[in-house]
Amino acid sequence: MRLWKLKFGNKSMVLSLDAFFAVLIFVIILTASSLYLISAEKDKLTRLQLVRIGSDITTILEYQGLFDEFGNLNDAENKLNSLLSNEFQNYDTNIEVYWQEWNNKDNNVTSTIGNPNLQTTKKFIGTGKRYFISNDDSNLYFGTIKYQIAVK
Amino acid sequence: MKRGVLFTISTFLIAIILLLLAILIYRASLETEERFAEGAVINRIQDLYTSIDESIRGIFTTSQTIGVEIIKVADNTYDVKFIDSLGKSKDQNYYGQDFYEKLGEFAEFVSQDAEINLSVLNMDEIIQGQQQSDNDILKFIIKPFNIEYLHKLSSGNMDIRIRTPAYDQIDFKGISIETDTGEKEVTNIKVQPSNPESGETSFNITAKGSTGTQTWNGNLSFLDSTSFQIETRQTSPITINIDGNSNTKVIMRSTASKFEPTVNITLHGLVVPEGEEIEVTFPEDLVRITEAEFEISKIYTPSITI
Repeated sequence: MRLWKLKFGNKSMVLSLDAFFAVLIFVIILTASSLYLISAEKDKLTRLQLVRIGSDITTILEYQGLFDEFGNLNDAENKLNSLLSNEFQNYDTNIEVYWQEWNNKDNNVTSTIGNPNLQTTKKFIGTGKRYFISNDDSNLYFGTIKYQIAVK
Repeated sequence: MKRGVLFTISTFLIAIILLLLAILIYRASLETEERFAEGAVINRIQDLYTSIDESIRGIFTTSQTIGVEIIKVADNTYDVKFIDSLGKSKDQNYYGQDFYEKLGEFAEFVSQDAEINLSVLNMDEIIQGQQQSDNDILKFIIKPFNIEYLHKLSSGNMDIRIRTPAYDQIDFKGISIETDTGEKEVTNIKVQPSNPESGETSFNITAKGSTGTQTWNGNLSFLDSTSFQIETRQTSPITINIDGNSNTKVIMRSTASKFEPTVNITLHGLVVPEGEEIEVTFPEDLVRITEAEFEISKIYTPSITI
């Protein structure tokens, strides 16, 4: 009876309890959203890292002169397969290389290595682009390397 | 009753504080989101910038205009070699045409992409300015010494010049000049005065011709003036002047028409101060890169490092 009176007889207490519960719910929501934000940030950092790894792979291939030969990616493909089965085992990538003769736009070719079905996967795909020049048979070529990378 | 009111007010205050904190966290998370997007774009732009920078250096090294090489000879000590030729090439309307044309085409190639725009700066000035004798043409600067290696039009001839920041600031220990006159025969290297004042800077000339090589080796004071003439049969000599009173220390010239000897000039013994790095910068303000996303525009001078 006394408890009943306390519950319904003291308006301020009821109001306080109401506020207390409201704050409690709010804190729970806030904590949950913070946890979500933190986990989302982790995910974003992983994605940024993924793009960096894609850039690293293309840089390795480019610095080894594997894009130097106009339209020929045989050596680049071998090296890429080696990298993906050793240093970068957890990644799947697709690299598209475009060459164009410096003073003749019509003399151009595009070649692709890696996994061509990467875009059809539902995973996050990191992308990037680099420019390069190659000097094949005393001819200067301008080129672009577009890469896509995803976690296997 | 009073205790209840106090409790209520306290609870409300805590609730307001929590609400404020929630708003702050929300704003911070929004900013973080923006920072992440910016970070991702900056990463992408950095990749593009780096590859453009490397490509420009690649265009330079594959062009026939001039070559630059930095050679490490000891800890913090370097030689810088310029592979060049005297006179404007027969096939070119202006000095460095081969390099600038390729660079212009590369800028057009890059600018096809909506993401980034590359333009070669001052092209008209580069072409027209070569008819004006007061312009420095294709100037390279060796940093941190600020030694300039440049070309200058003088009485219709394209000089090669080496300029120091001050007439008495000689940061190199020596200079070697190698010329190759191809089919022309080198007969003699004449020095004026015939017994130049000896100094601390080594100076070596190797002049290769069709029938043999002439050399001159010695130590000179670059605060005294000395001139050399590489004499060739049936054509005007190549002159090399060392000006002791000017910061333009070396002027190399050929007045013969249709004669373009190759010239390799090496500056020896450049000692880089601790914590600094040697680099040779291209002609200043060579290209402008504009990025579309953030509308960032940067005037850019590529450089060669070791």
